[in-house]
Order: sequence, then C-alpha cells, then structure tokens
Amino acid sequence: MTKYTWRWATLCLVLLIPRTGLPCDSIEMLDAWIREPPPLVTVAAGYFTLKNTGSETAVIERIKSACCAEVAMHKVIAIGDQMRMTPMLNLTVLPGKTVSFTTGSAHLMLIAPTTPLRRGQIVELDFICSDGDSLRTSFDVVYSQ
Amino acid sequence: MHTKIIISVVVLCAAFAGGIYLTSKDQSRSSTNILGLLWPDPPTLSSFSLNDSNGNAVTERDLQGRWTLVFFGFSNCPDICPTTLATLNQVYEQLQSVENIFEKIQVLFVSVDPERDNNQNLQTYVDYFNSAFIGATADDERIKHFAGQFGVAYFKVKIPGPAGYSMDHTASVLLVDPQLRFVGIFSQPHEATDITARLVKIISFVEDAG
Repeated sequence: MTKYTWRWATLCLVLLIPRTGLPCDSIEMLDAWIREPPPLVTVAAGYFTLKNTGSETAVIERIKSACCAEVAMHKVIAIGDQMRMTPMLNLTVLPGKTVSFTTGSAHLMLIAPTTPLRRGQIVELDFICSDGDSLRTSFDVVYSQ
Repeated sequence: MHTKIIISVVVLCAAFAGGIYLTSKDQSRSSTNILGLLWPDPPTLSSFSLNDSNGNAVTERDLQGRWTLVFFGFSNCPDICPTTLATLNQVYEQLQSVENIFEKIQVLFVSVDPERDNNQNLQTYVDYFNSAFIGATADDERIKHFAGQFGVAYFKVKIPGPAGYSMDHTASVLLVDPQLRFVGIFSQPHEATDITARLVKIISFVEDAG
C-alpha cells in the first residue's frame, strides 16, 4: 500500500468512529414543555432546562421543527417596568452549567404552528449545536395556569 | 364592694380594649405601608373610550362603582401576557371566597396591538383565561390616551422572522378604584396569592380612608 492509501484509510476510520464528547452529546434536557396557546393565537412559548454535563462549552445555534414556521430563542428584558422580547443569536452553556428558559426570563417562540397546538400533544424540537450535531427533544403541550 | 370592683375592672378593660382598637384603626388609616398602594393623592382617570369585542364602547362609566384590575398586552405575546392573565384568573378565583369584594372586582385586558387583535380574536383570547374578563382595544391614539393616564407606554418593535413585530409593554397590573382613582400597581413578579392578599388590603384601606 502506498503512503496515500494509508492516509485515506486512516481518514475513513476516523470518520467511522462514533462521535463522542461533542457539545450536543453532552447536553441533557429537562422539563421541556410548551404553553398551550389560546385559540386563534399563532405563537406559543416553550420552556426547558438545559444541562451541559460535558467538559466543553455547548452552543445551540438554532432550533428547527416541523411543528412551526419558525422556532426562535427569545429573552425577556425588563427596562424599568417595560418588558422587551429580544431574539437570541445562540445559547451558550459553559461546562457543568445549567440554563433554564422560564416564564419572564427566556422562552422559545414557536411561530405559526402548522396545526394548532393543543394540550396533551407532544412536539419534537431539534436543537442544532455549533458542530452541526442535533439533539431531538420532546416538548409536552400543557395548559398552564 | 365586690360589685364595685368588678364594674371598675370591666370599665378599665373596656377602655383599654377601646384604646387598642382606636389606635390600631388610626394606624391602619395613616399607614401606606402596603406594597403597591398609591396613596395619598392617587391620580383620577379622565374620560376615555375603548371598544369591547362586540364593538361596544368601554368608557370610564364602565369602571365607576367597581374595582378594576387593568392589564395592557397583546394576544401574540407568548410569555408575559398569558402568564399574567392566568395569574389574574387565579386571583379572581381566590377572591370568590372573600366576602364583599368579589362582586366588586372586574378585570380589563387592553390590547395594545389593534392591528392584529380585532374584536373577534380578542374576546376568544380573553375567554380562554376567564369569560368574565373584559377585552378591549381601540385605535392607537385612544389606547395611548388611556395608557398615558397610568403613566405607561408601549412600543412596536420589529423582530426578524415571520412574527414581524412585537410590542414592548408594561408587565404591571394596575388597580382603579370605584371612584376612578388609580390606587394600586402590582409589579412583576406576579404571584396570585400575594396579589390577592395585597388587593384585599388595598381595598380595605381605600374604602376605610374614603
């Protein structure tokens, strides 16, 4: 075998090895739920807790789902008494840290659902990490009081 | 002799108890130490005009004689508005067991997004939380006039994506008394039991103060 053949063989082996320790693999999702929107309302908020159990910083670049036209990450900023909803470019979670999207702080904004979101449904959302890997998470649609 | 002593003790006790009662009553009158109470000299609302879901006018006359919890928001608000309206529903339910107050309470939700909140979807939205709640809106000028009386503002803010825009607005719940005075404000964070307790205290205080 030539030198180049060995190199190609090595590269192929590396690509075949299961990817472990990458940011998306080290993410643990907890308490994932969506607030059931009132009838005729075309946006809904999703909440979750994300735990980075790995040794690298986890970066969620975006979220996609067949459920809606778009899923965006929004944080809520209080400016005095005013509440402002601001899009987040990404979500960065340091190793060993936990981040929670909760009412009044941050939420996923599910825009224009393809079918009405009703309590009892389960919606699958794919969290896309910076390395292109993705993590599918089930969100329960909940009637929240 | 015994009778005189007993009468004297009773009179002294009565005087003591009366003194305590009057002192506490006086303290409650002068106390403004209730979080959220705007006292003394609360501003009085002037005339305003909004429309409910049936197109009927909602004016200052609809607030006279009732205690009104006012909340500004919009139906496409995914987080703060549904959370607050759900909390107000809990407050409403908790007040059902409070004698002489529940009958006087009403909740007015004012949409600051008349472009998307037409009458039909506004009432459907409000009914989802409590069918006794009143949903109202108006053109921008009339909403601004009404909101301005509470010193609150709202802004249309463009956001990327299909939602197009959002509305910045106050997250506070505002309290208007039966004489149209803006007497209370419940700021974030909202917790139903806390709001109910303070609301009852404020109503009691204001009714007592006159």
